Amino acid sequence: MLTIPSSRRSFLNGVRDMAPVLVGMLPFGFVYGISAAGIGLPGWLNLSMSLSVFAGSAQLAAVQLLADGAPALVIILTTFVINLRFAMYSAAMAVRWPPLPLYRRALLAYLLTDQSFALSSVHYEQQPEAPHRVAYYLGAGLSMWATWQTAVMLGMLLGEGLPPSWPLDFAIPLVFAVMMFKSVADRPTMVAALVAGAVAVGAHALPLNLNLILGAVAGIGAGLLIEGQQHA
Amino acid sequence: MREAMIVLGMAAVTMLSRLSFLVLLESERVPDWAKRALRLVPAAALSALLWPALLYRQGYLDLSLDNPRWWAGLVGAVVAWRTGNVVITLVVGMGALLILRWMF
Repeated sequence: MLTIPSSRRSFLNGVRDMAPVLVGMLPFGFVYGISAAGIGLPGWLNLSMSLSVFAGSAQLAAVQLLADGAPALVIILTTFVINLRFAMYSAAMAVRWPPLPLYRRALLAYLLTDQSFALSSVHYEQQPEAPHRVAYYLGAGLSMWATWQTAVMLGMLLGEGLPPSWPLDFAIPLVFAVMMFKSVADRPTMVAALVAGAVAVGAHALPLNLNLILGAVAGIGAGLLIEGQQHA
Repeated sequence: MREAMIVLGMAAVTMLSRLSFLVLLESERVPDWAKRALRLVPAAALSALLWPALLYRQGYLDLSLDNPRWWAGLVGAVVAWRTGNVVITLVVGMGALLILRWMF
């Protein structure tokens, strides 16, 4: 006998499938909380960044840039570039979900992260006939959100208690290193990373942290070139 | 307050991307060239953020033994590459930094 899962079951399935990913997210949230507390910004600010932006790599980059004294525009622009991929996720999810009122779409959009997108995409792909797609996504997204914010708060509490002379902000480049190597999966991404790093280092004398954007753009350009050559 | 404005700006640009296709009347396909470029963003952005942070110390390039962040960072990078594990990388990298700072 075929039973059609209820929306509650679908929600719980989302949480269940997300669970192993959540464990891996804990250190990231932790590092953000600790480093943000370490650079001396007020706790309410760090928490509101985590709540309103809710994007790990952008948050970590912002902490690093704030500590460097980067201009506001650079931090916002860097955030925009790092989080542009969410537009792709938005497109992917839009074709999978039924029409919904704007306020609901805004909530779903807010919960969009690499993890909620990836998990839901795989689920929709493997079980295209499974109903309550939005419920599944909500289970995945909300559990991710709760875990992230908890990890951030714990990190902040711990960070406030640690001596300021400790080089806690060094954790951020270390986290970036792990994420960078994971993102390098083929020749174009490897070239993108190499060129971006080289240009960012070489152009370091430029004001306003321009070397960052320049490096990223150069890296993307180089990666696209290599890709073009591969297909030629 | 400057930092509050920054947070607001960050939140705004992020929600913009997140909502983008969910508000367009027809969910238009992302053009191919955009997909290819976006796929490369994480590798490029993370690299651009990572290496200057390790190599530069208060504005100048420092590859000497005096820059423990560079050497600890190298160790951390190798561990990050080989293990892909955040916890191990943090432990080894921070440990290396603390040891180097203590030694020199």
